[in-house]
Amino acid sequence: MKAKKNLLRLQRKGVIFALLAIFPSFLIISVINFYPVVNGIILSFTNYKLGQQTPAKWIGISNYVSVFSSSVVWDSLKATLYFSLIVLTGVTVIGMVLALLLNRDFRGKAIARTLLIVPWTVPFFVSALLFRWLFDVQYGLVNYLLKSLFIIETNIGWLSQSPFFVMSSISTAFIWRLYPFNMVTFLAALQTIDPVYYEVASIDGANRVQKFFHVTFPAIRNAFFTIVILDIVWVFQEFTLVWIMTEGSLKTEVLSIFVYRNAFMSLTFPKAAVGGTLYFVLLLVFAVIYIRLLLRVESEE
Amino acid sequence: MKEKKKDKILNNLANLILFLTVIIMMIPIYWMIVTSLKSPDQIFTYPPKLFIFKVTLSSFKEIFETQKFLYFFRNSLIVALLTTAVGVGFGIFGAYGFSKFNFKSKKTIFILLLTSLMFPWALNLLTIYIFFVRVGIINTHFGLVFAYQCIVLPVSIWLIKNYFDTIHTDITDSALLDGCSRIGVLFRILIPLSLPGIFSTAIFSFITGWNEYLFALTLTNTKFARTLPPGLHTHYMTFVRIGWNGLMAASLIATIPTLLLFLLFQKYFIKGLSAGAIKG
Repeated sequence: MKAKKNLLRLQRKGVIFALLAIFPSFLIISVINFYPVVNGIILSFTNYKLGQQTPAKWIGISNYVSVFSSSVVWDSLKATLYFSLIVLTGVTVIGMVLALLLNRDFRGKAIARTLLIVPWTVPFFVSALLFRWLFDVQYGLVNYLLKSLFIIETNIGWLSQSPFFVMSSISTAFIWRLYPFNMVTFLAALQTIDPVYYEVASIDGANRVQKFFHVTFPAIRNAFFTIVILDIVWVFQEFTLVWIMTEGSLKTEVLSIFVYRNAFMSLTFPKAAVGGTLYFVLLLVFAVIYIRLLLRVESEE
Repeated sequence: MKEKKKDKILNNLANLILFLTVIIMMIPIYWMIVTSLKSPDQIFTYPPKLFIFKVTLSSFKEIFETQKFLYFFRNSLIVALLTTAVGVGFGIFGAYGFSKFNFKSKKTIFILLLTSLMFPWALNLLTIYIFFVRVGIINTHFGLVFAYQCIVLPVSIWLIKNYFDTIHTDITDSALLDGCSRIGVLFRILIPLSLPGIFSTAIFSFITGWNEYLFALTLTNTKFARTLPPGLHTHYMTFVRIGWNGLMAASLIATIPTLLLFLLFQKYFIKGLSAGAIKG
């Protein structure tokens, strides 16, 4: 009885302690996450100028009108979606195929897995510089190898010739850098599947393809979609790689570059904020799906 | 019998595909290393030399004699280490609060925290920049470390909380009844039992601080504050004619810390960097 009373008292005291423990983090995240998002959205409705002394005036949706009436932002959106779609397809397919190939027993499995993860350890800015060099029109390794294998006859200006080649180059670089994440997480999900299911499927006479779609995929569905959503959130926001490789030239000005250029080169913060707000709205959709998936996984456990 | 033979063929085919993929994926890494070991006149030759017979470390020497590079490297190291210390430090307390206590709207606050991970960097950056200029922490290590918490801290709290959650409240409650303080419970029970998780979090935080480009590009522009990613890019791309051997040598140096973390602590590296996809 006394112990129970003690416990109750401890719990009441505990609430204060818990709030104290959380408070610093909450404060930091508020200053660096919540406040900037709210303020950024407000910014998009004002005529704020960097360094001005008088407070910015609320000017309604006129920033939106001017941004959306020019084709620049639409091209940005198109580039972002195009880029995301290619990269997403690439990393999902490559990640899944490699995960399935690694989810077997064979000699040298550990080495193959380790080597395949290595691109993940390369900083984004390094992979961007590296692929700029690989895709160099004159001295680049890619042109040389393709010519040696008689796939192309003349050098291709991967980063200068046409939007198609530029988009292919930056997508390749990004897929190379991102696929290990998909591979590793898919593999982790695959390893949670009980082999009994496959045995049952074999007895029922299922072939490999049927096994994948009726056993493997349903078993890792939640994990699969969580991973894809995370990919989308990253690819969608990618700045480093595209900026270093193209600086937004040749129809590769993705939305993040649109924001950067408007804010830090043209110094038109409200216009940049319109782009940022657009991001926010688009990402919010994915955030909701993501949180729901997480909660579902949690309740299943 | 026929099935078995088919199985064997398929297995060999799978091995072959895997082998070829490994080769292709390693080509960029190989090229980075080879380029960094060439001399400048070996770079601009056609056809490019796939193998080097005359290895030279002159690019590395040149890099380490560039005062700016040393500054960038030092700044990166400071920022990455401080990002880790701050993220893990506050993260541990946050995780403790969320994991072992019950209070009103705990779940809501926690979900809000997780949602903040999805906020667009590009939108956050605008206000962070304006705010940093106003309070005078632009161009400082502190500012950059602070800004990185927008991603590091929520992940840190979440990852560490997952580990704390696996430790049953019966253990912590009985320790409290035995007279252990709340801080004592944290330091004597929870932290020692969650070291793998805390270590994964530390790796994630370090790599975030080490690799990040956009914030570093906009929030710093002096050699005293700027980190390697924007430093290398702007320094070598705009001021010097692109010396690919030097750039690749510098890139290799920038990759080594993360590569080493991976090779030495594979399990923790993967756990930390796939936070959000794999639980606990």
